[in-house]
Amino acid sequence: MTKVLVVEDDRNHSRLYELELSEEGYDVVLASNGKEAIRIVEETYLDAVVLDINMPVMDGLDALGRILDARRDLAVIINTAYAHYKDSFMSWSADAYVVKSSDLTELKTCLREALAKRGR
Amino acid sequence: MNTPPADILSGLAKLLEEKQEKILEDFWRRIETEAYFSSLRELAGNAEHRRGLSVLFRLFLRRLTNPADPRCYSYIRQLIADHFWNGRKATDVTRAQVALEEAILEEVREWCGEDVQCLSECTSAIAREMNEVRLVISESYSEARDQELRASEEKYRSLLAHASEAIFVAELPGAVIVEANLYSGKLTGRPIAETVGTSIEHWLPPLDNPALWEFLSAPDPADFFHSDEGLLTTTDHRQIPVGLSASIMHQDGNRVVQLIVRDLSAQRELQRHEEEHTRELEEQVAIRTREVAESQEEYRKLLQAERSRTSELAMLNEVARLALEMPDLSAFLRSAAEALQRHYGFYDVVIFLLDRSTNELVLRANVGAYERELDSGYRQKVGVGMVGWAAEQGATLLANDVSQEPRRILAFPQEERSRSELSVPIKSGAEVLGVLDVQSQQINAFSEQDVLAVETLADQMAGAIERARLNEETHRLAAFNEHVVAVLPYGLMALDPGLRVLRVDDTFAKELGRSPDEITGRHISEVVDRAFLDQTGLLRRLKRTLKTGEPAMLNEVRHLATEAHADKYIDVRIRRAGDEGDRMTLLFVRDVTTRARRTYQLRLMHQVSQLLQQTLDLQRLIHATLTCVTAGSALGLNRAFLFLYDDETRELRGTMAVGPSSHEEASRIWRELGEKEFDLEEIIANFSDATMATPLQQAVSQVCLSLEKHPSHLLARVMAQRKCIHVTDATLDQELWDTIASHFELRDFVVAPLVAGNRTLGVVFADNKFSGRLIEDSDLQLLGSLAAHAGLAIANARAHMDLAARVRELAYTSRQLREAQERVIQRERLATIGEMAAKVSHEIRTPLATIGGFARTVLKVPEDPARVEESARIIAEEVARLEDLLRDMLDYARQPEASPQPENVNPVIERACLMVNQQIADRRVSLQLDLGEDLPEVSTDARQVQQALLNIVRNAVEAVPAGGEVKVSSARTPQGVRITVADNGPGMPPEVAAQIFSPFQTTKHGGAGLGLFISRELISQNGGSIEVETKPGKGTRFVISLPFKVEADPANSGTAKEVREP
Repeated sequence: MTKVLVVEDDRNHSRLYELELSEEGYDVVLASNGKEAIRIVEETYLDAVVLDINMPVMDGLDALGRILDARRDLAVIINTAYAHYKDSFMSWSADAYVVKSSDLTELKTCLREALAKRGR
Repeated sequence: MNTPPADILSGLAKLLEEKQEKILEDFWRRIETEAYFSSLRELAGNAEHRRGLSVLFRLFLRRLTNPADPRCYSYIRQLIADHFWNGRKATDVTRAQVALEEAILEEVREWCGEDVQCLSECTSAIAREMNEVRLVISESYSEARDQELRASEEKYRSLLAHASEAIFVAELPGAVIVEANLYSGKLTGRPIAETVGTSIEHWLPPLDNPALWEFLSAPDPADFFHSDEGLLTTTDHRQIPVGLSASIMHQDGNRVVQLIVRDLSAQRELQRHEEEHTRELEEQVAIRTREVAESQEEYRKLLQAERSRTSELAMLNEVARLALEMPDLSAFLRSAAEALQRHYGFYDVVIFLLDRSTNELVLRANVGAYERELDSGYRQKVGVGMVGWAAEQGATLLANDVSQEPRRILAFPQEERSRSELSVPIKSGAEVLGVLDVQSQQINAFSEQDVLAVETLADQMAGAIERARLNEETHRLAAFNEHVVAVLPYGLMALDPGLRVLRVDDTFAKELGRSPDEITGRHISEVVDRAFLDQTGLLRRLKRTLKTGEPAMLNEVRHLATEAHADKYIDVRIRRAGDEGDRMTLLFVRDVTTRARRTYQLRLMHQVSQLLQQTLDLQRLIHATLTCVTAGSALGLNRAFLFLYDDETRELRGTMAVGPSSHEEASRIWRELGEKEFDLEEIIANFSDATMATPLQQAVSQVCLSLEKHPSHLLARVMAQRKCIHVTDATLDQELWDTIASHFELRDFVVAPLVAGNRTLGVVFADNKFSGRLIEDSDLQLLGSLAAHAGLAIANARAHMDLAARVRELAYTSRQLREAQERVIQRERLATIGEMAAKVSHEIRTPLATIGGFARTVLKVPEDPARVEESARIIAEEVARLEDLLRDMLDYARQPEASPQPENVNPVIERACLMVNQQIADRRVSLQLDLGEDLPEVSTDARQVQQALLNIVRNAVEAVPAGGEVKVSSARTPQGVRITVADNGPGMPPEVAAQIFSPFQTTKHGGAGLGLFISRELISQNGGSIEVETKPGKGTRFVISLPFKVEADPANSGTAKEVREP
């Protein structure tokens, strides 16, 4: 089963992802900030990460660098309410940049494509 | 194509470098034709293609080895022939060989790279081939050497052929000639062919120089022989003087002599001519000299006769004249003795005068042989010697042969030589005054007539001596009187009872600017200025003293000649002298200008320094300074100029000048000054722009001196060395004259630096153009001291002006700053609003996405009650969160202007806590109040503080878990009041705490993150501050400080208003 980590500080929003992605057949793991996410990436074998940026303790862009340091091949989808982080070169190392929306179709598509690219 | 292009050599170099073997192959095919190679040689021979030559070498050398191409030997040989030998030296060829070997080695290394086998194969192949190349080179080398040898031989031969000396080379022993040059034939008249093969001795027997033959026939001759004494007999029997030089050389084990025979006949001829000519000249000169001598002798005799005819008369005449003319006895005696000696040519003439007190004769004049031996002052007792006898007896004593004269004594060594002596007493009546003594080196030198003449002369002298003695006495007394008067500091004038000048001395007359003769006999009022008489009442005083005999005095009054000496002061003393009926008034005057000025100057200087320090107006100050220099009798200089130094432009600018611009103006000013006292205070007070409108001021303001361009200018030196200088003639300093002095006709002037602390502000200079009074050292000192005062005062005034300007500037800057600050604050506000709008829109995005997402879930699975319920709950939560956000934002936007009033904060705290009652109950949290008693009132807007506090308390209540505790307390501080909100919740890590007051930073779920941001804004509007202390696991503490009084902050309130009123 493909394991996906959702990093999201908003409890209700991460619950939405948990429900929706589980329905798609993913094994969903949750983290509420960057620090927690890194710990999980180091401890658990994952296939993909859905990463929010604006979070307390450690933001997504900081976490992104460390996540990719630990697991270079990991598929990472940035999912944030802010469109302007697209300008940050840090975000370029992610597979995709999806702005938060109630319609999760784009997120799901990007996730699927990123995993397919890696043959998973 | 049989000719290579002009740039082929550089092309080949490139091909070689890039190893373009295929193209090179093509080149080799072309070179097979001889014409092509010739063209290449030509190109390489061109100086511009020197490098091309080495390219060709490299090319051919490479071809020698790869593939072996025998043609290359001949090519290389030709190239060497072309360029390494042609016109060069053999050494160049060996150098070429070394270069070649190096080139080959380099080529091989490059070719083989790191392949050892290839290297060894190539090296052995090269060793083989190089022998060939060496052969080629050595051929070229020997050819070169041959040519060099040939050239030096030719040179030697041509030298031999063109020598202007006969040169023989002969082998020793035997001296058989092996070579003889062309000239040898010419010199001897024999053909050279005959010469070679014969012995020098045989061939040159007519050469008459035995030493040479000895030299040549010696078994072991010295290396060199030289003689100028040879005589050669030619075939036609001419004898030629010759120079001979023979040197022995060793050649191939044989000894060889080289003999050089130089024809000296021409040289000898020239010498002979010169000698002859000199002799002729000498003879002529001798004849002329004899002629001249003869005529001179004759002339001398004539002259002698003429002279003796006139001498006696002339001498007597002269002495008589001298006696009348010369008042000084010593000078007369000497002149008389000289005249006597000159006229008669006596051996010696001595004049003694009798000193009655000691009865000795004192030598007073001496002319002739002893002149240098004797000092006048030699004494001889009366009665001793011939002179003593003549004095004692009062009679002439003649010794025509002194050896027969028993009375003669020898007083001086030279006297031994005199043969005749005549001593004649000098008598006035019967009294002997002295003795005139003459001596001659001949026996019987004095004729009767001579004795008579000398006696006459002695009589004349007696008269003159008498007169001179009287005269001397008178003069001595007169000189004593003069001296006494001269050393007195007073000038003296004697007046008769009618006040007419009886007598006036030089000092007094000088003060009046006339000679004593002009003054004597005139009435006092004709010689002294009217102004002086009026001011001093001199006439009245003179009359009174004359009448009563009471002396009178006038101290430090203006000068007698007021007009001419306005700047001088005198003391006057009046006394009566003489007896009844012969009364006179004595008037003494003394120039006390220096003393008066000193006193005045000191007094003034004190006044000036005080006044200057009080004056802050720079213009007034400078004017006062210059006035001090010129006006009154302070420095009493005529004109003063002040130049200030401009730091930025490094220029001295003419700032101000004071003084008259013409003689007329000068005397008018002095007249005015004479009438009123100089008052500096008044001058400073009366200063106006009109004061400045003088021609001199106009002139000075147009003069400017760049010290950058004139670094060694006199004024630059004064500035730099900070010392006063007295320039006595400015025209001597071209730079000074051109730049400054010529503008004002400054010649004799003083300069002083304006010094303030360690800075030199400028210079002051002054002169006496109109009065012409000489500038003294004291002027220089005083000007220096005044300039020092003025410098300080100017610095003071400048500092004051700077300060005023600075204050204005500061006020302006402060206004500017406030405006800028307001703009910045406004911009910040706008930026905050913009930032907030952006953040708000994004804050909304997450809850919206959540709401939408769960709404879709409901639509997707309406039949799953659990999912629907969860979705609905979350949707409700998110909507509440959005409502909170909206409320906070409205709160922030709606903040009214703070209207602070004295408040006790305790009721405010209580009200805020009441508002969270519901949440306390819901979350089962305990809220404790610990309010300080008798808190001072602080000036705050109660409503705003309450709102701020509410946000903080609400946050705290929400942060603690169920059963947690929140404590709110208040206390008095030295500055005002402190409110503390503490909880025992989870606390925060430092990175979160740092962000806590920024908008939209929240850790709790459902908040907009504006609460604390708004709280801080409100508290700071009330002049207070909020701090947070927190640690994970240790709870959080907010501390709000409110001061007693809100400080007026116009900038803050202004912009706050703009934000609040949409």
